[in-house]
Amino acid sequence: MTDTVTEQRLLSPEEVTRAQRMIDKLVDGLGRAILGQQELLDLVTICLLARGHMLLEGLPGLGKTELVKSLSALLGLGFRRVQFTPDLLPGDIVGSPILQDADGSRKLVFHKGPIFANLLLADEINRATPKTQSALLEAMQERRVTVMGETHELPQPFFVLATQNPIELEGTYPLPEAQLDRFTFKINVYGVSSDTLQQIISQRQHGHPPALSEVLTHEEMEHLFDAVDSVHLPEAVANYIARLVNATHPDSSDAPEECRKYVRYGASPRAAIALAGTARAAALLAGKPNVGFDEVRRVAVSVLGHRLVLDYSARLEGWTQVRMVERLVDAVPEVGRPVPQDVEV
Amino acid sequence: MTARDRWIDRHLRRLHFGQFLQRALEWLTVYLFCFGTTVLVVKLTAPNLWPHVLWVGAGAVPVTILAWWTSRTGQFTRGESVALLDRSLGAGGLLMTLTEAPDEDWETHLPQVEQRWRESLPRIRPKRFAGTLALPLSFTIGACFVPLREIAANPVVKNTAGQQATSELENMLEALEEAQVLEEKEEQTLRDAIEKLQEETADSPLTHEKWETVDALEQRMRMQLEEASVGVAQAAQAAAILAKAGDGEAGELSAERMAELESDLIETLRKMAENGSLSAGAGKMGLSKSDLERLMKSGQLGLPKDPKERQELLNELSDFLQEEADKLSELRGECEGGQCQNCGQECEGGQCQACAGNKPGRGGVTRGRGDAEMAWGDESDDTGIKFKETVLPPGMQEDPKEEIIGLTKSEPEVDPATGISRQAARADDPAAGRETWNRKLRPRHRGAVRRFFDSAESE
Repeated sequence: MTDTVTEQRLLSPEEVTRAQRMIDKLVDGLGRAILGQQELLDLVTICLLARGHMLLEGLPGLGKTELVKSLSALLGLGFRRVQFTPDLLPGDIVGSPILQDADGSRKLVFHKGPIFANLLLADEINRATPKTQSALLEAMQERRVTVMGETHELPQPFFVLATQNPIELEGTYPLPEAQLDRFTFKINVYGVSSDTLQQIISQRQHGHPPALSEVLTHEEMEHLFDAVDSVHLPEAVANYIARLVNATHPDSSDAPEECRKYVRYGASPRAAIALAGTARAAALLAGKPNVGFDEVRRVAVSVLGHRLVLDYSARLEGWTQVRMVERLVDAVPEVGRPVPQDVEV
Repeated sequence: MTARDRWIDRHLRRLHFGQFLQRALEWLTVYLFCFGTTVLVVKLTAPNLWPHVLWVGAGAVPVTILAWWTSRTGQFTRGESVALLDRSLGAGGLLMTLTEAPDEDWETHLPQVEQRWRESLPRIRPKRFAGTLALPLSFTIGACFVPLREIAANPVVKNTAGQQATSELENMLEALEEAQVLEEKEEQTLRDAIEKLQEETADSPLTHEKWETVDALEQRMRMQLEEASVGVAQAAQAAAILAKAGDGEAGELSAERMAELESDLIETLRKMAENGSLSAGAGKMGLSKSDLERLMKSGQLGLPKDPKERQELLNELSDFLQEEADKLSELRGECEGGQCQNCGQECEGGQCQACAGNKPGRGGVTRGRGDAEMAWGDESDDTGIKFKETVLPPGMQEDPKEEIIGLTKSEPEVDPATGISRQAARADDPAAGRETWNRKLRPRHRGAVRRFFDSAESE
């Protein structure tokens, strides 16, 4: 995948409608598997369309794993699940060379690990050691793995969907910042309402989701990816994204007072790229050929939240990463120049 | 240019105008505060610059132009204007997109109703502008109505009483020098004392010690003058008696009396020779330089043995000494006919008390007696004086008869019906003898007259 700046053609209304129809099929399918989590499903879809990796954080039993499995079924992609444990080794994920007899001679043959799949579910990723966690670094960023000097390309598309539990932190290894930065989205999964809960226990006697069939082919997915890339990002919105990401740095002039006080490290340029990409996907999801300020605001918390390193005093004052991003979104104006006070826009 | 571009241009112009208003508000606020402060300072410290200082108000025009000029530097770009208009329209970024990448298919997705575009244009709020400007404007207008402060026209003269006292002493010393009454040593001592007193009273007021010093110096000079005056008068008398004795008019004088008179005469002449007052008349009297030196050293001067020469010298001496005695008498303030020849005041006991220094309050504990002259101290400026003297126009209205009510070529026609009644005419007629209480005061004077009579009644 290469990034080249070319004269962009605006998607036609028909192309947008067609893309939206395909996306709707995917979202509807997910909605049949996961009840009452529309916002979560939209975000997952957005992250998927932006070809990003996502980290789902939530209490056990909220349907995180089920969501990923449903996604795999709906997309018809190769799916692997790895349950991360403290004794898991990097080789257990990326694969390892094994000595084999072949034509009377012995040689090391690389046996691919579970990472060689389109959709990798890294369940409870924070239970593995940092060494094992870091095995995913190259795969997530460059979509390839290197073992004993040999580089192996991963199948396309490649998504890592990791889950982690915010409780039972004993014996876990918090993800390092470099690892977190590679996740496009970190989505907090919350519980559902009592109505949804009633619907679940009425329709799922044993908790099994309905059987899902493939709704998008590989070609259709590629088409969707191309459509997302064709979504226009206006200069003013790009400027807004740049200022928003810049404002996460405490030494920035755009940073609000709370950010200067409580944030130790801000978001990286990778975050800005992810923000633009996911905003494009959100625009296509909304049936638009362009990104608006609303799309940026919609994905800002999921993109920037886990990339901020807060000061210890932030915890004392009750500032979470999500709250800090919400504050940033409020503080940074859409247009860099202040509107004159004598003018009501 | 499409309709969309026109709306964007209108949006941009309004933003630019809003920026100009904001900048103008900032500049004008500062300017008005500065202007008001300047007016206030001028009114309180340099009232002669009022009302010329109001010309500074013309600076509002260049300040406004400057605000317009500076507002151009940070103006909204077209892209920013489009972004704001997009948000106001609720176009979700489509307007921005179509501005950058025009597409006819999506053009129809923009609002098509003109009213929607119009409502999306920014609205100028002059209320805030006017409200913010009201405070500095009120301050400036208020400063213009602050009353002018009166400045002391004349410089404050410091320590006038001290200067006057030392000046009088100096004049007196000069008069004594001119009369050659004082010895050189005594003269220098008095001059030093007066100069020292002048220095001390230049910046500080006269204290009672200094008043006593002034009086002591004055008394000391008067005593010198009196002593010299009496001595010269006695010598003149002795010379006259000796001259008459020579003529035989005074009868026979005993030898002792003659020796005594001669001794008095010689002693006076010696003193006069020491002071230098004798040198002027010595030539007339035929006294040589060696005679004068001998007088000054040993007080010996032999009168000529020849009766004729002796008589002639005594006559000249008598005339000269009488002349000197008259001068000193005049300087002392001798009385003649009950009046002081010097100051013209009435004499008491054959002497002018004022010239003799015996005036009331002449110093020490006696100064300040009820009948003493007022010794005015330092003058103060009229800063903070509540009541200021103002020159009012003449209190009486002009005589109506002196007013020219018109010019005619012939005799004016007077209609008795419309003319002034006789009583009214008489009221204003000085010849009627009632003008002293019938004259009409101007309204501005009535208050002052009323206050005068009210205060008189209350007392």
